[in-house]
Amino acid sequence: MAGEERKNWRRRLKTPKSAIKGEIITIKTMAEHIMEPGVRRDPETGVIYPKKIIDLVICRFNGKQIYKSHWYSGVSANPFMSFKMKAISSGLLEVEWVDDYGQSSYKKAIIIVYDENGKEVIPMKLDKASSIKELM
Amino acid sequence: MSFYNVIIFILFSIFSLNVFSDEILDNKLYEKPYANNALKSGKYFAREETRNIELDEFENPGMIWVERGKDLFNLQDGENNSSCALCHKGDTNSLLGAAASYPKVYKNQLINLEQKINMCRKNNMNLPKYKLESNNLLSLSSFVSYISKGIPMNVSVAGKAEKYFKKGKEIFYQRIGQMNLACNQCHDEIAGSYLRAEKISQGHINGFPSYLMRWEGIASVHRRFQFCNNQARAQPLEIGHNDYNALQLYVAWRGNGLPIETPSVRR
Amino acid sequence: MSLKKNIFTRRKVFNYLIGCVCAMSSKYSLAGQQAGSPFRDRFQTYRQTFRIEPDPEEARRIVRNIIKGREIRENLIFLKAPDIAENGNTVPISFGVNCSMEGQDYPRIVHILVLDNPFPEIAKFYFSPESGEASVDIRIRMRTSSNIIAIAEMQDGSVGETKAFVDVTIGACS
Repeated sequence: MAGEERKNWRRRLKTPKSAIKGEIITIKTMAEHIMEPGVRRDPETGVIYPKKIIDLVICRFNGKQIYKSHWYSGVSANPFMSFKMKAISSGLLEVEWVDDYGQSSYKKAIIIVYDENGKEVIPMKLDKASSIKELM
Repeated sequence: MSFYNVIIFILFSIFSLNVFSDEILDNKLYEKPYANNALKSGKYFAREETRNIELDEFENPGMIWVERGKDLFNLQDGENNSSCALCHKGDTNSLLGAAASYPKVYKNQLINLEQKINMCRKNNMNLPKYKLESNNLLSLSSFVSYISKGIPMNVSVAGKAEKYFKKGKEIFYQRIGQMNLACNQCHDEIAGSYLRAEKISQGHINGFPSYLMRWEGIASVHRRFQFCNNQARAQPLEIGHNDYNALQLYVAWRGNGLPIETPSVRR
Repeated sequence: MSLKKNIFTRRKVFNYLIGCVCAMSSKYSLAGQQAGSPFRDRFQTYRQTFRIEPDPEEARRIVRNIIKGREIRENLIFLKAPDIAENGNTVPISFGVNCSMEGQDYPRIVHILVLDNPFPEIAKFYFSPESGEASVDIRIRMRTSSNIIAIAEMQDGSVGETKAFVDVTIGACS
């Protein structure tokens, strides 16, 4: 019930493994969380179950934040959320769930993006000559 | 005058006892309320959005428990490092179809899947039993049922299980509670009609342990029976009670032939 | 006149009566948690006074503060929600914003509100141009049949709003 001490609250993330450049991909996330709103009472004693919800969900791609979501007590328990992303380059996708007690958990996945020729689009191209010019 | 009164009194008492009731009950004992092609799982009585949640394995919140059950199945614990997977790995001990035959009689006692898992833990693995209706036990039981997903339910009511079947049928037809309701009045006779905006289902348990939205978690059959008793304002029995096991046997037999669809999503 | 002492002195009778009164009152306090006893029933009504009720004026004020008097663009955001929710704990909804997601034409924040909930704000979503498409599926809780309001604030300052009505019902027997 409320306030359970468990160490294995699960998080799930589903992304397509590969995509074509410019395609819009769907990312599905699900967290196992009780999302206690802080208004329910124990039927026997009348004590309020303390509020414990997931506050913030951040999605980062290659370190850059592309999507953020604030949740309040109105989101249902074991919340499922799915959102979209445009495939620009290959990279690491991370989704982080932050509790209102500050505890955070994350799941990551790698997405490989191909362009029209079938070549993989790598995230960054470091041209040595150009970087030196920028430094100067 | 008094002699005739005595005769009438004796005849009246004999016929009021209804001594033919046992024979009538035997002929009708194995009569199913729904023919095999009229059986409908609870999925058909749910709304479209709920059905969509259940169909997709990722979106189904009950799969969280199934995944945890899989981890617990492979977890090696205790001083012997024993785990469920050590025995139930090969074809001989495979658990495929195991969940379709519970509740069954084991050593002269009717047990259901959760109690069997506890027995296995205590006798074969030397580990402490899980508390009934705890998350760990429900995860394991939903994982074992998920292995048999799609296999039609097949509980046996012959032989030793017959007396429990009779007891379960008696409980099903028994009026209980302040509302004086019996299970068959709604689930046999008026399934498909609405009871205050909720469609009454046929009452099959092929989707259990199922994710119930009102409790936002996986629940076992016994907890659902407790809720039904509470709704009729009757005194609920404890989880794991023998009467609930007998009732589960009858309700499972009633739905024999329906494919297992753990974890289902119901209200 | 007898010299025998009277067993029933006034002190003894008085103490006995006080003891009886104490015993009877303590029995009532020990029987606290049983239904029908006055202590528990009084607690139930006390509990009811602390149930958080939705405040419609507050909800409208929240909507006004988000929109801040700006003009509402037509057909900017669409919201898909079931007509009748199977259970108020899990109502799957989805929304999408009709925009190109280029330059300044993407939604900075999208608010989802349910006016008849005790806390009307449900969620806020922040997008960026890399999002591709501003459409999200989520499952929310609703206490009673009410309107779900989705408000989209674009990066260039315009606002779009839409509503959908969802019936939340009570099920059988309860």
